[in-house]
Amino acid sequence: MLEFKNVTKVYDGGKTAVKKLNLKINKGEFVCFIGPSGCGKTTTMKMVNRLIDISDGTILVDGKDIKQQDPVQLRRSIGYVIQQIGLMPHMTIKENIVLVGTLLKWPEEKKNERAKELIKLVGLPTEYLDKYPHELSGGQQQRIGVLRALAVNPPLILMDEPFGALDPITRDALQDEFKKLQKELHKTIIFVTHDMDEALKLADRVVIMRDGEVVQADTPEEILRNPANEFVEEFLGKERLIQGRPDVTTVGQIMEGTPITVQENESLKNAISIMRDKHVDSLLVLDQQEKLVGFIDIEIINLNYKKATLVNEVMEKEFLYVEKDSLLRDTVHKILRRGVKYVPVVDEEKKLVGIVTRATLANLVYDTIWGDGFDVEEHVDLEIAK
Amino acid sequence: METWNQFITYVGQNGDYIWFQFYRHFLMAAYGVLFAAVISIPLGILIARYGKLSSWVLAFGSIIQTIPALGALAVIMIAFGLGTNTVIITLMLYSILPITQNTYVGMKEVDKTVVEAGYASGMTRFQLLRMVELPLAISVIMAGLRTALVVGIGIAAVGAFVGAGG
Ligand SMILES: Nc1ncnc2c1ncn2[C@@H]1O[C@H](COP(=O)(O)OP(=O)(O)OP(=O)(O)O)[C@@H](O)[C@H]1O
Ligand SMILES: [Mg+2]
Repeated sequence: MLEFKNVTKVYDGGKTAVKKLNLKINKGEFVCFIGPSGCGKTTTMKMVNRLIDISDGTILVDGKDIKQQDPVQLRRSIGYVIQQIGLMPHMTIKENIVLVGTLLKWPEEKKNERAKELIKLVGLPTEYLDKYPHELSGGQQQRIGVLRALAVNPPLILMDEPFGALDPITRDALQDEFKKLQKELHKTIIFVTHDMDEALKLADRVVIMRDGEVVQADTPEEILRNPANEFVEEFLGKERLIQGRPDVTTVGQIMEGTPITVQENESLKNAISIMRDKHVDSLLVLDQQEKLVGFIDIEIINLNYKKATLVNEVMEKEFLYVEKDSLLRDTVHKILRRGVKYVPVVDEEKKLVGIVTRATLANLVYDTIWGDGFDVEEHVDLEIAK
Repeated sequence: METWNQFITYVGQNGDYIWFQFYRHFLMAAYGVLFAAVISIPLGILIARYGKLSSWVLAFGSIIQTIPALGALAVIMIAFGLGTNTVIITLMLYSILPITQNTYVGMKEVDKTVVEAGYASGMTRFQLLRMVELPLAISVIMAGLRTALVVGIGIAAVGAFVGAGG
């Protein structure tokens, strides 16, 4: 798909930004470039769509030398998300999304349709298409920046620190969203970041760079297990190397099997009695197909008891959940970072299969330290997973 | 009160003439600015793109600006004789700087990241100019035209000395 052969970039001032880079990236692969500031990540990326000229060596896209191609056509065929979003302030969101379509002279209907299709992909309402960029939050703008790169369905997408300027929570949410998107779209993606967590979370392969050279290029697991040298170790940090073990454990392996649930068409009265019987303060709500649709807790019931009678009228539909084959490392992160008490676990069809609570995690830690048989669950006042 | 009455009487008697002169002034200024714009806007765009020229061009423009209008009119009159043309040419010279300058500033102020995004999306230079840079710079360029017009009307009044009417 994409191949770097002895690629070198020397800037006019004599500064060598990239030295003899050799790398082969397969179709559908998600590759993260990571390294300290100024190590040549942006330069490498910009050489691919010829925003910067190569000094020496060749880059092949789909086996074709990019130097033989018209730069304008080349850029239209490669998606690019720049480091600072860069939406056109005088164009509507719709015009921004389908910008490349406009350049390729797509008919108006096709553009409208594509814009609607794309904006749904990131969960924004279609009314946003007529807004202007300044009316959107930073996270929303960044989503539009990503959509612009996807608009004409290019097989290769370059992303330069797309989530760099966002607060940790928005970034976390966008990463999840994007990872899911990637699973559906099967693009080849080059993703620049200097956030190691981001790289380990998203990438199939992480390319660690220093001073214009590749230090190590490997899967996240392999890098954590066998860092190539001290630089990589230092870059990873001690914590991650210790955490390195649970990195391959999936949520499915450690989750608890029987969360307490309620059907969405049950009455609030019944919900309360379930809570009382099971000594929990929150219930997961399922629909007829056993799919997870929300949750309800004492506080919500308290606020709405007079107004509503059924669970699905008042349940909270916005909630955090994980898939059972996602990595434990990311889940731990979520629980800690978002300060939630538990995370429901679902399968591919969003059917509820289990739950991970803080107590589960505590058990895990006790297990690894003292071996099996230490039950902390009773001492923790969070008993939804009993 | 005396003067005021005289003024009223004068306007009353010569209303048509005043209107006609006003119109003439305005038209001369407008032509001057228009011709200047044809030269200055492309010039501004050019120097904004090729940075090295910019300081020279802008410095030269400011020098023209400092020549007293009356003196400039006199010199240009030697070349073009008496009449409207001389005034329009002088006007043009004085309009070139504000328009070029504003075009230059307007183009320079366009957010670099937006321009980069345009390039990366596969815009040609011309598309970039038409779809991104000009729309974003237009308000600053218009401000330049307005300044030029105001200055121009002032100079047109001085033009009376070289027989351009008014
Ligand atoms: N136009 C340029 N002219 C000269 N040197 C440049 C130019 N652009 C970048 N450099 C230099 O090349 C090196 C690599 O720059 P690059 O932008 O690729 O870094 P980066 O890895 O993307 O850093 P960051 O994480 O800060 O974005 C830096 O030392 C930088 O100073
Ligand atoms: Mg960079």
